[in-house]
Amino acid sequence: MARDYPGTKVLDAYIIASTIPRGKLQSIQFPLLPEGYYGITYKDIPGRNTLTAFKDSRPLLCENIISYKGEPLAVICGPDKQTVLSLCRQTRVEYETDYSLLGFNKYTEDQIAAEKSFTKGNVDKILGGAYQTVEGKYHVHSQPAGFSSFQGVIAAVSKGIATIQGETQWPFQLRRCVAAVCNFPLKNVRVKIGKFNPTYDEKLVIPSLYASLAAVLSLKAGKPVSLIPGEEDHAVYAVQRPEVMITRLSAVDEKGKVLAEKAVIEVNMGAYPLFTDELLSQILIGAAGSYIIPNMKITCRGIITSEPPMNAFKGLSFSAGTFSVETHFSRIAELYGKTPGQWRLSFLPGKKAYLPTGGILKDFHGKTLLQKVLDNSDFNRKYAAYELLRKNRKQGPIGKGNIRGIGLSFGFTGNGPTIKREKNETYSIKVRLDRDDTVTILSSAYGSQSTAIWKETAAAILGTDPSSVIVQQGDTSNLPNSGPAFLSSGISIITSLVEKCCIEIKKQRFHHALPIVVKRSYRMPGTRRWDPEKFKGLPFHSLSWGAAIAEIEIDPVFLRVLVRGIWLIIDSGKIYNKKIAVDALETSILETLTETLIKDDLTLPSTFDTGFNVPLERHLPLISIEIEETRKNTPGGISGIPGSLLPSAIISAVTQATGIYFDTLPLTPEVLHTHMEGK
Amino acid sequence: MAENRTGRNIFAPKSVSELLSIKQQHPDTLLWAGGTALMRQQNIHPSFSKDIIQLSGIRELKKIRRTERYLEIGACVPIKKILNVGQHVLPFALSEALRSIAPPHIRNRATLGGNLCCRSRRLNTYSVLILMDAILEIRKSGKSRWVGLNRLFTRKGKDSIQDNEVVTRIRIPLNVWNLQYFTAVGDPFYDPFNAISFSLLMETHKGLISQVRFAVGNIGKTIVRSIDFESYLTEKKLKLRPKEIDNAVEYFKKAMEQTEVLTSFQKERTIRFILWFLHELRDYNLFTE
Amino acid sequence: MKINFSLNGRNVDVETPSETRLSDILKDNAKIGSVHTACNKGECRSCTILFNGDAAASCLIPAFEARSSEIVTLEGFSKTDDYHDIMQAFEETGTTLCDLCRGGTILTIYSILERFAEPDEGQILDAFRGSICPCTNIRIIIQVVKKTALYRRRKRFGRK
Ligand SMILES: Cc1cc2nc3c(=O)[nH]c(=O)nc-3n(C[C@H](O)[C@H](O)[C@H](O)COP(=O)(O)OP(=O)(O)OC[C@H]3O[C@@H](n4cnc5c(N)ncnc54)[C@H](O)[C@@H]3O)c2cc1C
Ligand code: FES
Ligand code: FES
Repeated sequence: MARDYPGTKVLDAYIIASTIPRGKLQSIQFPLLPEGYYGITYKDIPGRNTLTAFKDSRPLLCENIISYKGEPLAVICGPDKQTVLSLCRQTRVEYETDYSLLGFNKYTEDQIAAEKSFTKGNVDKILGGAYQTVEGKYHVHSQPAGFSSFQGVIAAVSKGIATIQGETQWPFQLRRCVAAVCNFPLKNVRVKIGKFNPTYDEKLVIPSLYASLAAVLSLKAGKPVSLIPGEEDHAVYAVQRPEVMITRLSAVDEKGKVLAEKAVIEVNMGAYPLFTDELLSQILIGAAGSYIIPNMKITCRGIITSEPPMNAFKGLSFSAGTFSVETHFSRIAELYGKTPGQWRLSFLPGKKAYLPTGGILKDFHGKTLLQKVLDNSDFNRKYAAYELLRKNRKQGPIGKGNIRGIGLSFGFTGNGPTIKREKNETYSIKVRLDRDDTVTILSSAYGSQSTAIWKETAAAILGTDPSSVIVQQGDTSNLPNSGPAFLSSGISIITSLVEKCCIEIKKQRFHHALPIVVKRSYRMPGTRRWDPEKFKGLPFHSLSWGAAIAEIEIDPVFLRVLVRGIWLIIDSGKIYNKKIAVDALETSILETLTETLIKDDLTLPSTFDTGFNVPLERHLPLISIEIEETRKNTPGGISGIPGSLLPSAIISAVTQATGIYFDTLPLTPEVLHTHMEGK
Repeated sequence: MAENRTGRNIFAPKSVSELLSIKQQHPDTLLWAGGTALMRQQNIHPSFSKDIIQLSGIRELKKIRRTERYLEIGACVPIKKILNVGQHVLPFALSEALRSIAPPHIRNRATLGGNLCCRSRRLNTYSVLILMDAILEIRKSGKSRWVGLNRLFTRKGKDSIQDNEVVTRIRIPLNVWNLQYFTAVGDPFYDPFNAISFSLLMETHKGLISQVRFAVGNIGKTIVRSIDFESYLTEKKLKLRPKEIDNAVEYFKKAMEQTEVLTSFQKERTIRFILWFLHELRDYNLFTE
Repeated sequence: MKINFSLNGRNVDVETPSETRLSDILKDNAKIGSVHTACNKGECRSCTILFNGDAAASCLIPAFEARSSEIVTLEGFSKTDDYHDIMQAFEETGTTLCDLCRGGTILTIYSILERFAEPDEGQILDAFRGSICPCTNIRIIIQVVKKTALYRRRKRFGRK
């Protein structure tokens, strides 16, 4: 990055972070800074000391109360990196430590950041007179990202104009933050957009924090400043999956039908919740599942704790909700002596269906999907065989040979956020057709990996070759605001905008002179479709459906779960390029396997056991993917589906193999050991 | 040879004799082989308090020699090069132990000497080579001695190399163990409570176990071995009776209890491993030779 | 300590503390853009270089070990035919790598090809053991390695 400023020395900057988890900041005393070195605390911020995301905000630099270990307190920059680091170490910070940490297991009223609930029918009454009730507690541990591919930002402020370089999933939010921090009008901030891989969504808001701080320093120093993540500020730049605890209680009739469902969801959001509203909605909708249950009460609470902030981590924890409902229902099926497939086939809605929140599902083919994946994997036969094997096993799960199980899960993921956006927060793109027949797509989300799909889409509609479609690179001053590139918006919302623009161009093509430019924007549909207060309607831009089966084997020596095969079927609407889709799904499957099965106590995945993406066995599991395209219109995201469905399929398979109920993610050998000992 | 700009000497000897005389004059120095273990344990800005002797320039330490009876490996031979020696020469368990050290781009630089001499913990090859009765050449200026690898560290994990000494060669007898096994899981540096390795060597004759050796490694500063367990199994039939399996397990349990170094999870894994291989013995083709 | 090494065919002199990581020297002193340090422990391979011809993690090499060495980074490697073969294979699969992974992945592929004329899946997985990139399908990498190996064999021996 630094090479983009020829002739100008880019100053290196590092963050000084709090070394205590909770307390009061008394004072910060920089050592004597040599000439050319600068330090800032919150007092040096000319504008607003906040980082905003959706409706929430947090301070950039701590002003008074320290809320977690690793909270940024000050930043120092200068021409020599080693000197900056040594100045950071010499800086004296005085604290008044508060030893009463905010925990998650026993929280107080005050710690509840927000609460959402969804009610339908009369749950308590039905539970009171139920034929049988089934209870389950599901725990998704917080999990740090394997690593952070965020490499920092460079801010150059001169003559009242700020230019920012760095990878970000949300360039326009970054621009807003920097403008607010520097007290600049929006138009005076320009964000150069680079290509990026969103990986864990760590480039959603963290770049905004770094860019804002670097901009303030650059303003002070009069030189470009590069702020890169240092080892000490790991808690600042590395994202963590929020810890989620879900308790479910179901009233079940004599046939195994769930008549009422009560669930309480608690989410550990760390010290500064961002995206609270959206995150709670997503988990709640995930936990409601896709079966018709007449009575439901689900409460979802975001809890503030003294841990580093946990927000977006590959979406907003929708998958934790799905995990709980699917694992729970597999358990109910087992209690009633049904196979997980039979149970679901009898209780899934037919063609004309509704979501629990009331949204009407057009062209719903859940049963077909389920039936196909059951057939593809020979599920029923294997399930019966493994049941028999387990029941006939005399000694514990040890001895000759590995033990096996198979599990199933069904569900959907939503595309785009549920939240209603501010007026200036629409997703917009432009498409231009030039005289030489080249098609140019202009979108601030061009850094995302969906560009290949956009090209295919435009080429298919306009009858050209994908190679003559260009996705223009640029910055916030010449590209339209395409919103935050997460929750599969690149592939669902933006692709459908590309589609709309191209259809319009096609219409105008032989009636208007070239070039033709068409702009289209997406706004969340009005309350008629989704009412976020009452939790009614269809919450997402579109839904992607899927069914997954996992066949596993447990190695009786090391207690590792080895995956033998994965069968996945998806219906996410129109697919423009099957090959890309299958590759993306496969990647996501392998990644989910490692995340579900690795240990959770490592910040970096171990080289020995298993790296991300490279499973432990020295061969890859069998993966079979089938794509259904029953809904020809809206393209939807696909790569979230394995993350949502596979964990519960795996857990159910392990439960079948061992005869012990598992309910925790990730499922590490230690967890397996503890549960087996408990038995 | 020495440079002294930042208050530290970095010696770069070109021959063993030069190395030994430097070590004689500057006993309090750090030997630097591939540096992979040393660097991995450092923070973001590495700093070493001692002077350093770089071993990478010494050709003599990078030789591999094979005779009828043994394989002799220079202390600074990179692991990659040892693996290239080939399956037919390299004992299978050793080759597995080497292969499971990090990915190839680390094995390019990591050495066998470094793997054995790591002070803070016993790593992959240590237990395998102890079972194989490997011996080490330890040299100091004007003197050399051969010691059994089992004497390199005391029970408490303290090393017995004097400050002016260097490990120069590792000699591995090529006994015919017709069953060999090595496996390791977990990161011995960052996951010490779960990480574990098992090394197993066995000689069989006409359906009888004539000799067996078994060690649990990668668990910290020591390894766990039980002589009672090994002698109990000797002369037993390969098809062990269930009672014999139980007895053998009990012997090893005792050894584990005495050392108190294993976590309950590591113990569980060990017992599972022993049960597994004693069962598998009935069908011992499963072991790759 | 003053050290001197060859970097992508150029002679470089650097004055630095003797235990500075080579990765930091390449990033800070030599302004090499393809070298990153996401772990500093030899695990993430974002700092991979060719060190005297072999792939190595530059974060584990201190300055003094780099004296008189020959270093090739992605910048230098991108001028070779091998690089173009690898890139062509990547292009055919439609995959892009992020900045952080590009150098490590490409140089690791090269080192596999240097060791095996016809690498199999196990050898490729071994080389990528511990890879932390969660967004590139390992099967695609396997495809790319096999394809590149094929191009190489064709070029060198004119055979499949
Ligand atoms: C990513 C990664 C993964 C790893 N995984 C594993 C693993 O799975 N299993 C495993 O066993 N190890 C592992 N290691 C650790 C290490 O790399 C290896 O053990 C390696 O063999 C050490 O060799 P080296 O030459 O780099 O040792 P160095 O780091 O150079 O030295 C290690 C120690 O040995 C001393 N020493 C070196 N040579 C001599 C000598 N001739 N005489 C006396 N003392 C000497 C040194 O002074 C130092 O104390 C891993 C390392 C990394 C970076
Ligand atoms: S920084 Fe060197 S391997 Fe990660
Ligand atoms: S390509 Fe770099 S993290 Fe995946």
